[in-house]
Amino acid sequence: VSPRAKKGTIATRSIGTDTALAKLARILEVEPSEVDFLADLRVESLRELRWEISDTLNAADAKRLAGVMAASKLVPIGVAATIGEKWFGPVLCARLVGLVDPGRGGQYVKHLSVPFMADITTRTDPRVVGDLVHELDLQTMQQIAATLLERGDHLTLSHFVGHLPASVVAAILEAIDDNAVVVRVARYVEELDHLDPVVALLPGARIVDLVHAVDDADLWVDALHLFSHLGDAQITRSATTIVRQDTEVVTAAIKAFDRHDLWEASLQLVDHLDPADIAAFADVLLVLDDDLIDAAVDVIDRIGAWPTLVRIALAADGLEEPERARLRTIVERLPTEQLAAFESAAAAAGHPALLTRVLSPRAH
Amino acid sequence: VSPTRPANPSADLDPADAERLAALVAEATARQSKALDDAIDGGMGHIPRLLRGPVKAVLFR
Repeated sequence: VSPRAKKGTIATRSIGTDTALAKLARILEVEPSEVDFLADLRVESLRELRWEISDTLNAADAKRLAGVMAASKLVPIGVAATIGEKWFGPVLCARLVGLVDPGRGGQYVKHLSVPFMADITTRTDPRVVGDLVHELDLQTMQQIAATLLERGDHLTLSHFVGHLPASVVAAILEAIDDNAVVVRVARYVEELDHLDPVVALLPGARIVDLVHAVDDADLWVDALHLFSHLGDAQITRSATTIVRQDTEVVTAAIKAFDRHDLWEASLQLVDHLDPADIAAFADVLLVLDDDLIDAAVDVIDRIGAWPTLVRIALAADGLEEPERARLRTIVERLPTEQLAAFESAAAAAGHPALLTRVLSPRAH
Repeated sequence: VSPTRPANPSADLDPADAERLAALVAEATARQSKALDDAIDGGMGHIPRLLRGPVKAVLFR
């Protein structure tokens, strides 16, 4: 099965495969290139393989690791933590995370350095963290996250998103000022259904900041990949936030959608907007070059998204000249069969006279 | 088996790739085991000398 996404779709497969391979390489303690031979496996299979291998590694020395846990109780907790940091190292301590009593784990944290805890985090199977997360104070988790990001490690945080409560993830994100980094972490998340409750907890101002970061760093491909996995409410919130930004931001977004062949996914966002926001979107669309408009119409024709264009035309119906004149020019350039498809969709939406209205100059 | 989880992901691999993956897993397991040996020996230095033998015998044999 090809792991690559086909043209015209959000590159979910490619991102997912690269992510899954990187995570698999990490638990095997090898470079990602050493597991490239697995790139043709489905993402789900790669993920399942990783869990199987992690279970195998955890089980390999289970008895001796249990002995280590027992021995650690023979010495004061500060001494045990020092032994862990000095002698055991992060790989073995990561194996112990799943064995430690959560309350005692919370005590260890007070004696370990943040860089060492970050090292442990990179090597911990997120499935075994469980109640331990409730014993860690938020500040410590934020410090660990900040340390990982200072190292350019986006993968580790993404690894935990699906295994921590959304409230904890959202609280950790509060400490991450770099919004482009947040998007980069999110694109590596495999449990994409866990993103929606996290996004729901982000304040509106943060969504605005994220949109600007996406624009500044041209992360629209990643952003659309993520949007497509949100629930309706959060897609609406994100899409609305985008179209309410400056014209330059919306224009940049549309050009990025065209450049990356993402018209189909971006048109789906329009369906989540209310008429006033669609009008704002139409305002921007109408000043774009014909080539961009043609590309959008071609996609609309190919995927049968005429109802979406009807919604845009309805919203644009309230526009004044010269925007209306531009709209007329665009519609007049449509081939007959596309005009028929538009008319049919308009009639189905209860607006049989829409095409005539659009083509008529506004009476003053 | 959960319907959302592949029943046996290793089954998707051809024999050569399966063998290559098994070798990587074996190497990682051996590395981990060696690290554990070293860690136990190092950690024992923090246990009073008289107790080291009995502790090691009870906990790690």
